[in-house]
Amino acid sequence: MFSIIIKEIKEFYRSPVSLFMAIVFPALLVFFLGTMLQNLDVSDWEIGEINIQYSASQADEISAKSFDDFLSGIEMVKSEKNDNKSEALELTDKGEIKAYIELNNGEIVLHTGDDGVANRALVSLLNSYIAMSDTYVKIAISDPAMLNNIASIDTDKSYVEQDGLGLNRSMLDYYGVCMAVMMIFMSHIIMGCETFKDEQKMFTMSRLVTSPLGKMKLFFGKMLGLLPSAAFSNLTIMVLSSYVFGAHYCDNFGGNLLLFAMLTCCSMAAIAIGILIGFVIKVPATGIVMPFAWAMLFFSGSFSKEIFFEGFSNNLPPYLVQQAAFNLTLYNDASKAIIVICVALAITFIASGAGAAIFSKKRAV
Amino acid sequence: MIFASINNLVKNYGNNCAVDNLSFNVNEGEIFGLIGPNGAGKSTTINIITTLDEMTSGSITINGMDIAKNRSEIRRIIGCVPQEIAVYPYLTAKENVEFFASLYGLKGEELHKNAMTALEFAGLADKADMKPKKMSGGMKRRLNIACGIAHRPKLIVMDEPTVGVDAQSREHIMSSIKKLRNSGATIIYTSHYMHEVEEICDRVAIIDKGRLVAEGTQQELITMITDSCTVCITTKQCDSSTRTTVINSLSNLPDVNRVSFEDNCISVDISINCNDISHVISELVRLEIPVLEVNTEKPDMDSVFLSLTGHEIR
Repeated sequence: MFSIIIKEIKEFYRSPVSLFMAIVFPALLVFFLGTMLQNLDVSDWEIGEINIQYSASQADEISAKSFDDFLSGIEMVKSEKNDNKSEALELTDKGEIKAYIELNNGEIVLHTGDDGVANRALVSLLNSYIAMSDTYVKIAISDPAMLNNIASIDTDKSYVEQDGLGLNRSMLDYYGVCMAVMMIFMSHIIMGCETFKDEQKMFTMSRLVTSPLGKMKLFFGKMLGLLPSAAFSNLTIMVLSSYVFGAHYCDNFGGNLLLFAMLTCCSMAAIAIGILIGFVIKVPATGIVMPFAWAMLFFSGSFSKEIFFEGFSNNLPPYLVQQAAFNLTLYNDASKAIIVICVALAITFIASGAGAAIFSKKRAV
Repeated sequence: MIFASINNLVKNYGNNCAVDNLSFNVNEGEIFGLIGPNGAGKSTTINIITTLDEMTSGSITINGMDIAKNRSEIRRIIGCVPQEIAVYPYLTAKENVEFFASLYGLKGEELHKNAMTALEFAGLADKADMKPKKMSGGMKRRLNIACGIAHRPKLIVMDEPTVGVDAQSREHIMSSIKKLRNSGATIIYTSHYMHEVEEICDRVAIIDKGRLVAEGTQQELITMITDSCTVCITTKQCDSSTRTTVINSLSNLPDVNRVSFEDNCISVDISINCNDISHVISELVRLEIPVLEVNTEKPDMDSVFLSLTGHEIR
């Protein structure tokens, strides 16, 4: 049986197709996804300087003062008072100023120009001004005394504290796990499906089954022979995404080892299921497994974290594996990962038992 | 001594009977040819002998062991050379041979030695590190044989091992098979090429539609279809009286069944078992008839097959 495992490993690292599926494909996935996600942190447009005119003539004195202070505190905005509305609107139309803002009692009217980027930036700024004003109003209603201390509040201080358990999390942390899960549910199942079919294609099956080795040893030798390549593809994703794109998994070696063990156990279950599918279906497995696996991964949020259907997505195997991985990597919570390992081993045991039983009864050629 | 005995072998696939009550014996140390057209049941028979397939009924004994009870032991003494080239394209020739030999429990130095011996035998020792995908068709065929013999099986089953190879490789394979026989191995050999069967097989079984049509040595099979072969002797033109003298003289010789003399050709039908025609030539010399050319028209295996089955092998 050991010689079969060695043979499988040799074939794996010498076959361009196997290498592509196990190393190049995940490496490309990591590369393209990593590059894409890195670019998400870079804005698409340069806003530049926004010159506007505004009028606070219809507002009360406090509001006007507050609005003056707000605008003057924003570096990118060059504001100028102009109570002549028609003149300001004409300048806006001509594009000489980006917008004209009227601050009335209880409302802000924004007259925008043709610059969409500047318009979106101004809407965002005014929304934040309104949100801030609302906060002051709420404080005034609930605890007016606090307003006396507002001047002493350090407004430059950031009130949002980052808590990443010591790590700077990025989108690749999410997609790194998802890619590994994707490899398991697509590539590793197909590897299992094709392994005995490949022997038949090469006509080597007759030699194998007429050897004294026996079908059971042959079956488990083939199955275990695929495991190193599957584990290697999982490792490729973890290592490449970590060292090339700075993705983070667990913050300790033990956690990462457990994550790798969990993914490898899932790969083993996927291979066992794949072999079983390969025995049952006569047509090339890729055509059936690929669309099914793709749909399962899609609804599990592997391609986009936004896709989630309560009661459906959270019961799909890829979702459960992903959640176990996230619990382990984000919160150092290994409980779900251990459950996944146990379930994967149980599935491996059942699927490989059924596969071995079918194989022992099956005509080899 | 009988090495393999196939008795009343039957194999049905549903309602289709692929092998119908087939029986034959293979003697130890011989090359036994199994010939028949496509669909005759040769491959099914071979698959059952090599334990690749199960029989519907009948019994097979190999080296004294019943195949139904001793599959594992029988597998240890059998080497298969399938019709298709069954090697791994990404392993080298040596790795292929070593891998298949390792399935038979060989390991370490013994494995290495046997693999190299098998490669040398196949004429591929200098190509040990070459991968099959870079080999020619003939080299792949020879590697296919090496993979089946590295564990030194007592019974080697070869299913059309020369399909699609060039003349040089075929010659090498033929001489290799004879060497295997000479080293003590028993070989069951199937082929579509009758001249190969004639060249290397000690005994032959003809199968058609799953049934055994005939079994025996080539001589025995030829005897089944005819009792004579024709010797054509070319001489000079003779007059009528000389012709009559020649016909009468030759007809009285032993083993001569019939004589005719037309134009300058004397046709002598002699007994098929007669391996010496010197007495015919001596008689012509005595009669002072010049012998310019002698041709023997002996029935070949193609004629045997055609005569016994009613159709050609292809």
